[in-house]
Amino acid sequence: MKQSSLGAWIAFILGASYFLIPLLATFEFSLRMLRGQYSFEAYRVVFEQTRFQESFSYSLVLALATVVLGVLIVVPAAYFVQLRLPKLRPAVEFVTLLPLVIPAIVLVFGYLRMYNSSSILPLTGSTLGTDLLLTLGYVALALPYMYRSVDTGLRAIDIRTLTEAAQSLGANSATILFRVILPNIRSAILGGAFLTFAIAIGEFTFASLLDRPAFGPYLQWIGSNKAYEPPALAIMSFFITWAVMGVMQMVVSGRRGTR
Amino acid sequence: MSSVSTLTATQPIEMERPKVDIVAWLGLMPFVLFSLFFLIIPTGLLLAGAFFDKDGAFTFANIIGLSKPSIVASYVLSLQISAASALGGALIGAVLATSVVHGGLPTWLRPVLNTFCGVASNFAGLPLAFAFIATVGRLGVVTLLLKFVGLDLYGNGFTLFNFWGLTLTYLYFQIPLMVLILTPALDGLKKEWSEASAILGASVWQHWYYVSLPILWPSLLGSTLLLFANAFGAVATATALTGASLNIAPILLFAQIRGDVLHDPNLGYALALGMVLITGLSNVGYILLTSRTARWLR
Amino acid sequence: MNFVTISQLVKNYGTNKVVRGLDLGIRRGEFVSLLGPSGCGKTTVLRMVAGFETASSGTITIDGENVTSLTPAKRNVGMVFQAYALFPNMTVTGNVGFGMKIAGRPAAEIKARVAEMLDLVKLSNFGDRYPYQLSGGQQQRVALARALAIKPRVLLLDEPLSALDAKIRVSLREEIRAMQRDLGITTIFVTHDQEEALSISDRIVVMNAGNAEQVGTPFEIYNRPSTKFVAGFVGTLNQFKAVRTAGGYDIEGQLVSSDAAGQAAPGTKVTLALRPEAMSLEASPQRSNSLRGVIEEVSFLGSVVRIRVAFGSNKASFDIFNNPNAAPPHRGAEVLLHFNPDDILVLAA
Repeated sequence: MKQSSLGAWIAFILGASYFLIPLLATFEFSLRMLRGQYSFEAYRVVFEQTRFQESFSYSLVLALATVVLGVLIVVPAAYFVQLRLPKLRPAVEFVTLLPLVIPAIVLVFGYLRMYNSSSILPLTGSTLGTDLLLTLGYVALALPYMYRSVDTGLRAIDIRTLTEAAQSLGANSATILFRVILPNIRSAILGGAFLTFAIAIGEFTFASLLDRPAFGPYLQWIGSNKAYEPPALAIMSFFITWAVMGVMQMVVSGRRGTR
Repeated sequence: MSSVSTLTATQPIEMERPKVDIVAWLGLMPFVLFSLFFLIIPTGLLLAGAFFDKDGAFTFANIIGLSKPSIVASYVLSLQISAASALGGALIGAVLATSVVHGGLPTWLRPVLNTFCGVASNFAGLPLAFAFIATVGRLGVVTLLLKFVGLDLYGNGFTLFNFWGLTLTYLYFQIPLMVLILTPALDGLKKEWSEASAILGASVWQHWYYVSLPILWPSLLGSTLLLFANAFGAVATATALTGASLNIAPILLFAQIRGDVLHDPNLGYALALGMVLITGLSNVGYILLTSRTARWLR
Repeated sequence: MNFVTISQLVKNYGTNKVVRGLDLGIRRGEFVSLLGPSGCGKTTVLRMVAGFETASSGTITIDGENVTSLTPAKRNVGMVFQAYALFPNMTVTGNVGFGMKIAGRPAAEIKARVAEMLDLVKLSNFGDRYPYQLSGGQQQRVALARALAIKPRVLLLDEPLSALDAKIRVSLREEIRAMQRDLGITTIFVTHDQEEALSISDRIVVMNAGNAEQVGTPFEIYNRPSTKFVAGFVGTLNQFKAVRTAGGYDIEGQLVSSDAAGQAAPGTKVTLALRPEAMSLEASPQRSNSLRGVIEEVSFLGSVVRIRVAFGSNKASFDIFNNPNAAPPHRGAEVLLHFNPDDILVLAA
């Protein structure tokens, strides 16, 4: 046992250094904007850029819209498939896995072809239409994670009994779904929502090809034009991702704890 | 008499259930419409486009056009990078996951590693590229440190902007992804199996060879395929690292969408079709292989 | 003399003493059960015999060989686990032959032995199946065959029946006992189910909090429990609060005589215990003691009727056989409960 745990320690430390060195190096690099001293100048410069503020808030709004749309599309589907249409489960699950099979760049290519300004449904013809298309694209990207999270949450509670109990008290389907089921799978939905958010906030391919001023294209622009701001942004986005994942894990483990 | 009355009593209840559950279908409708219009039809139309020419006539010319040396080269390099980062990620990730799950490390390391992997596997795209440029780019911190101690990375032909550089960068999200996928499979290895082996006379190595590896094999292979697909579709990291300088399939497609660099939209559809086929096959392989282990472990 | 000898066996996890100096000798071919509630240390003892846990102190010898510090692989013992623990990637044949394959036996010998073992557990036609294609009972038979295939010196059974349905549990238990007798293999069986232990064992070790409370045949354990714990854990027992008198005991004003006087001085508070089957509503020449009480509850259970009688604050439950020609006694009736003074167990209060 002693020997095998020595090997495990070596593996773990090697792995940890591969993951930590780039973070430390990036952080160090990001502090070097002012000659001869360490400072948070790069971060200050980034925060003051209007382009940063605009693109970040644009992506923030878009990410929130994605979460809301995703929940509205996924929750009723997962609920009814599990409760009333179990025969459709394989088909629905297959569809939810498609975004893992179709690379994002192919999907957006499809959008551009189907919804271009000379098509029947010219969504890309207007700013609002493009924003909608972008949001729906993010919903598609996040679909596998959202669906799996909600589905797992629904399996963990006895939705049949809950539904029948609510029905016996005279509730209709919409009331049951939104007043009974939804609160009970709140943490599962939150878990899926955080992942969705993390995917949407820094997404590059869709936003770039649909030509919207989102955070991803901003990152690319700054990456090819500046030296010290990109590592500062990398550190920031690492910690944003960390915060989102941390909150998500707390939500998920909190759910386990109460059970 | 009593049995007759119970029969008639149950009949109305069965009549209440209509053949088509309208409410349920209504609830499913947003999902159905969404997947049709924003997943299936756009992709379907695009892929179908690969079989038609500019005038809408059926043709295999686009598929044959994929054999252009530049396109073949882009696929080959893509496959190489995906395969290398998938194999490397799978191998290192498996070792890492095994040492944490079965290596006798303190238990508090597990949630730490799990959270970190959740973060790192999502830490892809542009920020990842920035981090690696700051670390092992031409002026990166580690590059300069190594130069200081006498090892000139770039002098020895290393660059972040080729096969090796991209593979090294991809490993940053591939390894954690492997750890995340494989940990449940490793947890599925029951302690009793190793005890049963031990008491039947097997050594630790014999147990791994005869029991653990055969059980894990489908998961290992399947996860590698998933990693492969994951790397194959990645655009942002590659674009940010290399700009358009590296000829890999997703970057070529990106350029094609931007500015029709192939001078033939339908050839672009074929390019996309090729990508979907490759990621699709990897995913199908993954699903088949994991369902095999799921059956065993039921 | 003893085939397996456990002496002064101790297991500590930090400051937690799980096994506290167990002594036990097991004869060749004997079937011994370790019986006790969860956490009593019975499984830890078994795992120390198997070699999965190392003893903090004490020794274990098998057939004269001190195995205390040997690895499991070198002990040549067989083990059957509660959750079957069959290798899911191997067929039944692969599982049963695994031990011999590791030992490097020739293929022909393995094949013959596997066939013999599958025949023994009545699964001859199941050799090509995978564990997931078998029922729980079948899987546990395979596990048994796998453990026996290496001709172990001792067979260790760790609650092998607890994961099974009630019906299969009983039939497999009988089969295990028959097989064990045929093979004459020394067996240690861990269970928390007293009925299982009573029905299957040559001897039972009742364990509590890391100690052996009593070691004896099922008959001795059931009829002459030596401690209150054993009396309470094995079988059901009616307990009465009583005070020792010169010629017997005083149960809330009613006097009963007893020869099993014990050492208690008159006036000492004691607990008396009676097995339900020692009580009767009918007087008989042998049953010289009687207690007057009121029927509190009558539950009709089919072949038997369970009756609860209260004597002041003491209560007793017992079963009478259903008599189709006579109605059972009714609630509130005043009855005399008869029992033989020899059947009284005096437990430390």
